[in-house]
Amino acid sequence: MGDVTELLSRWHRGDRSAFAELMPLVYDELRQLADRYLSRERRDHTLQPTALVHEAYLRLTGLRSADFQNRVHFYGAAANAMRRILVDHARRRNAVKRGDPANRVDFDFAVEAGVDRHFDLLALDDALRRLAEIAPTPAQVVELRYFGGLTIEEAAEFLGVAPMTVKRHWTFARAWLFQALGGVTPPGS
Amino acid sequence: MNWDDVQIVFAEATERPPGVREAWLETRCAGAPGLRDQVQRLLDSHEHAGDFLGLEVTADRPSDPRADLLGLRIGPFRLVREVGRGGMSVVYLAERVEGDFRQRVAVKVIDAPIRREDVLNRYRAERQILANFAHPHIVSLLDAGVIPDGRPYLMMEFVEGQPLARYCSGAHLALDGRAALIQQVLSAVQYAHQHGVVHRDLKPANILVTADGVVKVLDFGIAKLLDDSIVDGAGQTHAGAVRALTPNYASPEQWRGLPVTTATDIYALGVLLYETFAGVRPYDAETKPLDEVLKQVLERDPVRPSLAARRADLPYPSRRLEGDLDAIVLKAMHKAPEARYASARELGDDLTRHARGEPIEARPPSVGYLLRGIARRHKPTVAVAAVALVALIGTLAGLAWQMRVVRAERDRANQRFADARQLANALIYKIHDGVAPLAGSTPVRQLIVAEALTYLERLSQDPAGDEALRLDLARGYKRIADVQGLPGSANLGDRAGARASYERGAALLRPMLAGPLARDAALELGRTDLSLATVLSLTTETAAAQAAVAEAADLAEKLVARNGADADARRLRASALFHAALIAERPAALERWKQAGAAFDALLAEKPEDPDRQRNVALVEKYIGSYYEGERAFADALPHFARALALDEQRLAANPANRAAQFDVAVDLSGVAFATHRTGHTDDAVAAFRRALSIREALVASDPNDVQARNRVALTHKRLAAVLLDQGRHADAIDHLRKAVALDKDMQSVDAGYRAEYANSLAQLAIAEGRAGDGAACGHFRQADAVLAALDKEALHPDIRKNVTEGRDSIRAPLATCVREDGGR
Repeated sequence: MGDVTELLSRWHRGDRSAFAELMPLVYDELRQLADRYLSRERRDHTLQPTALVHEAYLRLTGLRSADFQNRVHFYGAAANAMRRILVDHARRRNAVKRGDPANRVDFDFAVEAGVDRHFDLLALDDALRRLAEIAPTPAQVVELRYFGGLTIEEAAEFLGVAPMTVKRHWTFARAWLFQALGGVTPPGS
Repeated sequence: MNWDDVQIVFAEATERPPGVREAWLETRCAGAPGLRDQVQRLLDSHEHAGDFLGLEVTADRPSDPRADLLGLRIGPFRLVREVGRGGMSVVYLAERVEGDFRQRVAVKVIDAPIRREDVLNRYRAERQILANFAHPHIVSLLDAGVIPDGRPYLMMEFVEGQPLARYCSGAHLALDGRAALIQQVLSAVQYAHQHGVVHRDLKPANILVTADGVVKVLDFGIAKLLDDSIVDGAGQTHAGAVRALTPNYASPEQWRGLPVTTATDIYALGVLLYETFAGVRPYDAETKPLDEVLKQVLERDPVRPSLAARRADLPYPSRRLEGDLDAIVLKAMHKAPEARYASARELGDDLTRHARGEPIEARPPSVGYLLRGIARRHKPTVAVAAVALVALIGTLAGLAWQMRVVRAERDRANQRFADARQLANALIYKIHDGVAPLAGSTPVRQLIVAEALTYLERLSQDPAGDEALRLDLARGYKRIADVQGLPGSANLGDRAGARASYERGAALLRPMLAGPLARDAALELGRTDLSLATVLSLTTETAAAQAAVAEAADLAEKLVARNGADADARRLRASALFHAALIAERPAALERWKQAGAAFDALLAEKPEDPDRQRNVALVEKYIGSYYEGERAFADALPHFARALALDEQRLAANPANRAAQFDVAVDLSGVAFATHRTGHTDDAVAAFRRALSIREALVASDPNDVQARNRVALTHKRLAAVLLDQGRHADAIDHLRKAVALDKDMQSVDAGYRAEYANSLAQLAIAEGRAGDGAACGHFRQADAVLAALDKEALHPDIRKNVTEGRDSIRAPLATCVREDGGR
């Protein structure tokens, strides 16, 4: 328990090796939690990735660890893990349901983060990947906020930039992704 | 497609109101249609993305003021068309639908959350006052209430007219025509003030001029009505909150959240006069960032209207504003309320005097006025505090534009604080560390750290500063002290400066030992103490060095006792042992060194590849080697130097550009070579010294300001020369010694230690020359003696004192010979 806290402190003090040590712990914990939720395949059951990340944090660090920077670093680390877990899960489900295009995996059964628009998680993941090629930081901001549940301020702390900058990246990424996911048909194309 | 450009232009575009984006984009991307199209598509997406991804950036969105209210019945009236739109309101024309007569009124729907019962009670009282207004230039309030969605409305006399500014420019109105309109405004304001009502939001949009040239001032007292009624999320009414701020016209006291008086209206009238006469605004709040506007309103005096008018298109020459009108306008706009006209009437009287050619009351700006302006400009903290206050009040759940402005300003203030801190830390850590390994970077590093410290110092004055900030600041001081004079890395040799900086950092940390960051503060204080001790032990301050080491050791022991797994604490403990050994006297020092060595070895065993741990063990080995060297036990010294060399070579191999590792390897080589020499293997010694020398020369060449590196080159020359002398290679030896002398001569000014080195080099050169039968020997002996004699009169570190004494003793005999030879001549 304590060593996650220690790894986090080391990490935010600049020890990059701590990140490498931390990731497997975070990933394992999150995956176990996610599996538990996702295995209940009831459609009315909603999984909130941010709640999951929070739960994982508490489980790994204990309640006493309320340190802001630690929490931010943990959530930041968890964002990527969460994304991979959800995408893997969606892929598995897609494989199961292959051949039935009407039954595409909508994200809504799995993730409910205040979104009432259904969209394909795999498409989002793919779009994020493409966004990361042209604008890595905005893509990371989406990952942190959407999958890690970080607020603008927390993402700013995590990335070591100003909140205004995060806001700017977020606005850009959101518009870009919305377009990439077919939200708006580009005029003349 | 360059996506960096897309991001930049997109970000700029989103900062502009949707209505003007397209035109703006067209200009911004002139000649780059691809860029424009891409940004346009993104803007479309931005507009339509709704709650896509579920996390909207702008949290509080006002209810849509564009919501169609046409057809809505209010009492006997029905809204028939929209006639105007402001920052926080929409004005409708309403017609009476009940009764036999035709009546038109204006209904202004305010976009702000107001508690219903509050509105009804308060409005009833207030509107009674306003409804009783009977002035030809004041638009009377007829009714007030709330529409079904909860937004308040105000019903007033319907006036068909143009805003003042547009009327003036549209009619190409001459100066006296404009003054006449202003006089009507003044009479309205005077009337209201006499009835105890302050307008609070005078601006051209609130002043209409009918086709007949009659002025009608709108919205008297309404700002107050709204201010008093706006509720926050908890349903609390916040009286006196700053609400109705129109950036171009708001007075300094309004920005500061201070009480609003009639003088506030006088200020707004001044701005109005400015704009009416000069054709331009004193502060162009619409095109400037808010913080810039604030700075202008709070701190800077506006450009004289006559000067500003030059860039306006006016039907009269701008010089007609020079003198009286400049003075009148600026007096009305004075930043201090008490320095403005006492009433609208006085202002009007001065305008009348001017028109008649009589002397006016207002004076052109005096020297005192200008001086006050300067004083104001140097008190930015006052402004920031005021903004913070406004921001605090602005946390109400209000959704109007004005409130968003306030909130944005608060964010920006916090932002600036965070940015400055981040920048300072980036300077100290990222940038400093980035350039530190680079050659020639020592003065740049000092500059970087000093610059960052001034930021941090300034921030630490800020009430928002906290413990974490103090920690940053203390770390910053340690960094700059390291650059100033910490031996063992490139430094500027400024030991006094280094000491002062370390002590400043330590003084910041000590009060934090009982605070929330006790552990970090203790670690940092311990580290600071040890670096300070290093610097102190190079001067004569042995007792102070011992005290610093003792404090560090004590802190470390406590930290380790609290948490034995705390790696940082264990490192600090090992370092404290190391420093205790450094300042220990022989022979106790050897045992201390072995303790420190054991502590560092234990840390290295956990992470054998960690360069810092490798370096620490190597360092201890070197000191143990030197200890034996000092005991002339060269065979005992050799294995320690050899282990140090092996560890440092490992470190260098992992990062060949690392200056510190190069430096250390050279030290190790020198140690190995010296011990090898003394154990009789002179050829091996020469080879090792040559390698050390080439590394050190490269270090000096790449950073000529690194004093220590130069000193080490000189030292290596001397040691190599000693081997060569033993081998009987006198000429080679003299060659190296001359180089040592030349280098040391340049460094005499650094401190007594370097002067002693210089004397030593001169003496060694003289000895070699003596052996070779070179006649220059006596001259060099005398120079050495002169340097030593001067040193003897200084306050010296005991080690240096010993060197000086021994040096003088050792050259006494040859000097005597030289004197005899001279005497015999």
